[in-house]
Amino acid sequence: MSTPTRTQRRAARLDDPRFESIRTPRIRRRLVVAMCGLLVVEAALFSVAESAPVVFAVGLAVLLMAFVLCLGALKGSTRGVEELPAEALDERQWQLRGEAYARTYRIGFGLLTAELVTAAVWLIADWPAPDRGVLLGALLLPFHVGIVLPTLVTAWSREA
Amino acid sequence: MPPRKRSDEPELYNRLALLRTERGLSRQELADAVGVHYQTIGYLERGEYSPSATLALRLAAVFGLPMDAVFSLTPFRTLSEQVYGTQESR
Repeated sequence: MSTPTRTQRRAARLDDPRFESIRTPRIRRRLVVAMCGLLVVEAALFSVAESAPVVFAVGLAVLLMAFVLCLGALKGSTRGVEELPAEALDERQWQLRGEAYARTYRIGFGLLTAELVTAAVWLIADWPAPDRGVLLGALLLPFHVGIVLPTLVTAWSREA
Repeated sequence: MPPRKRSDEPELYNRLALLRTERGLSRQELADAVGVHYQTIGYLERGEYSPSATLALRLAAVFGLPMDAVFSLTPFRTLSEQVYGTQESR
């Protein structure tokens, strides 16, 4: 018997029956809400980065751990359909992944457009420049959202 | 989000659940035989997913039947209709 490849090991881990309890639509949606909550907390932390650097550093460390745990649970709940390569998926899962990415594209496009409009309004209205923490958040948050958005969209769907 | 059917896509009926039970196969065993996830067998049996021609042929081959004995665009007759030739009263 050949040794399983890295992809096969990853697919087997994400398909672990021990995660079965978190694969119900209700639990998956709760995990999505939890992850969105973490992103909101992250945004709030960036807004206090300059005024309270210790709170920011400690908060970010705690948030990072929560983020990793929540993302791991989300990926287990979707069996990693959104991240596994084609050879690890069957045709239904491949179709599901395609639909999830199409929806992710639309949502991501909307979010980026909203950010662009906000930045444009800020510049046109000549509002005072935000502090460095907010600027850092404006750069990092879209990156974090981009990382988790396909997983969030897949987990939110009823039949992942 | 099941892989959604287009509104113009015809319903595809199948006898997978009946045949699988008849042959004493679990969903996992049937899934392994055709190379899909066991969850996909459930979706197929409930008619929530229409398989590709390749998968349909593989499934039919597992049961040793022609594809049109397993899949049909019109509802299959019930077992009682086939055995006794009676129409099911609705």
